[in-house]
Amino acid sequence: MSEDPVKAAFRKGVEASRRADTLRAEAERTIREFGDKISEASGNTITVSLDETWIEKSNRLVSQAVAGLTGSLAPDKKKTHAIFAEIQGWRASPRINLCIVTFARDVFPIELQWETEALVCSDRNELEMGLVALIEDPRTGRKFRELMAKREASKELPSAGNEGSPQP
Amino acid sequence: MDALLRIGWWNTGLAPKKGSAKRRLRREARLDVASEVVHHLKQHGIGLVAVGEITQGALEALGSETGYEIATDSSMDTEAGIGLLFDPARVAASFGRNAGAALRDRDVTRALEFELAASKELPGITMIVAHWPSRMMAEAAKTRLSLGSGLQTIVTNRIDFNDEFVIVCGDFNDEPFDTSLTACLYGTRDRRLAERQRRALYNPFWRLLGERKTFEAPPPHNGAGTCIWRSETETHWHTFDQFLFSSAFLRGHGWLFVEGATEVWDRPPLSTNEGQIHPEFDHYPVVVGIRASAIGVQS
Repeated sequence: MSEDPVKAAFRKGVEASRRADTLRAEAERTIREFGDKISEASGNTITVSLDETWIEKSNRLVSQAVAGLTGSLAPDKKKTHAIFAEIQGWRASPRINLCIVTFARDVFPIELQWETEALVCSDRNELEMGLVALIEDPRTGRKFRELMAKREASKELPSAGNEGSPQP
Repeated sequence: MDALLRIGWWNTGLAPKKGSAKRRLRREARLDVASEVVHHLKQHGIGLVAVGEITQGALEALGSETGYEIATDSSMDTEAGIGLLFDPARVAASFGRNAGAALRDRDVTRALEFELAASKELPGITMIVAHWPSRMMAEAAKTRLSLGSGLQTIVTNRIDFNDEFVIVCGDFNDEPFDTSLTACLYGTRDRRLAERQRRALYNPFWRLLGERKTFEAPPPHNGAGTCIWRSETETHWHTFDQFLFSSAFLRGHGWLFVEGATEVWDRPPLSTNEGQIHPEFDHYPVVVGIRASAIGVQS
């Protein structure tokens, strides 16, 4: 006898949610481990982490026109995620957006978007490869160099009264 | 602005191939024919032509000889070999991103994303131009499935960010009915389904799978697709060159897909009356049309 469709859908939804939680934890762990390696590679200068961010929606004309007719305006920003880089242990460090991370409803595929690149990763292995492609890009390398240069410059400042400088 | 904006895609086959001076000469001769074809497209009011298998040099040559402006990734690799030729009097175009997929052993750029704008009053269009790997390598079949899924993710993310008008086109090295185009990219022959499902893409090239002309008398007209692969036994013709349209193009608010303008450009100098394709080329251009229909905008 086949299962009642409502009960089957309920079970399916709960299982999908559980699977998505597992995949999300896996993706976040992958990014955390990636951050740890960047930190090591930079001599504990740079911290890389995933965080929420807001990006502007395109607000294409037609959306506004349709929203105007229906009496509601679409919000002009959308919450998403990004990988940020900053100088370790320095509260005043600039926070540089390395790439926008867009998770699918089921977590994967994940789109990484930076500069003129958009890369889709369908599982953990591909996410690791995508992150490598991100840091191999000379434009990302330049961002890291700028952060390291800022840290070097801050070392030359007198430490007394310089609350914003990196802590050893 | 002309209300109908006609857009084309053509795999030119002008990318460099290793080889002799003889081949190089043939390439130069091909560039002359290609220039004539592109000139012809411009004369017929095609506002924008996306081209594949092309080098930066060949793209610039086609642009300067035909009066089209060009857009591409300035660091374009020859594998992707994609660019746009556009008539600024009809539409403006700019390069957006390389849209790739991180595959098992490498990341692959097989699509370029462009932004199109026809006027201030009309919504912009995201146009993704793809060239997927050839059927000559058996393992490329899996790659095309991954590229289809990856491209669907990019389309969905653009639509979620209010870029409702998305056009995907190119040489997919797969037919409209293949899994990479249907299950992976969500291309459909069903307009109603495409209109209702935001992630689906309407593929008008389902209608161009077979012989384009009815048989009346011998000799039979030769043209049952967009590209020819002469060594095959099942069919020499394939419909690998396609355009797919996001749902918004079927709703009529902003831009409207004009199906009657869809055409395989099998005209001289690429084609003879019997439908024989020029021996130096294996793809015809394909052309589609969209019409401005924004609220408050006269079409």
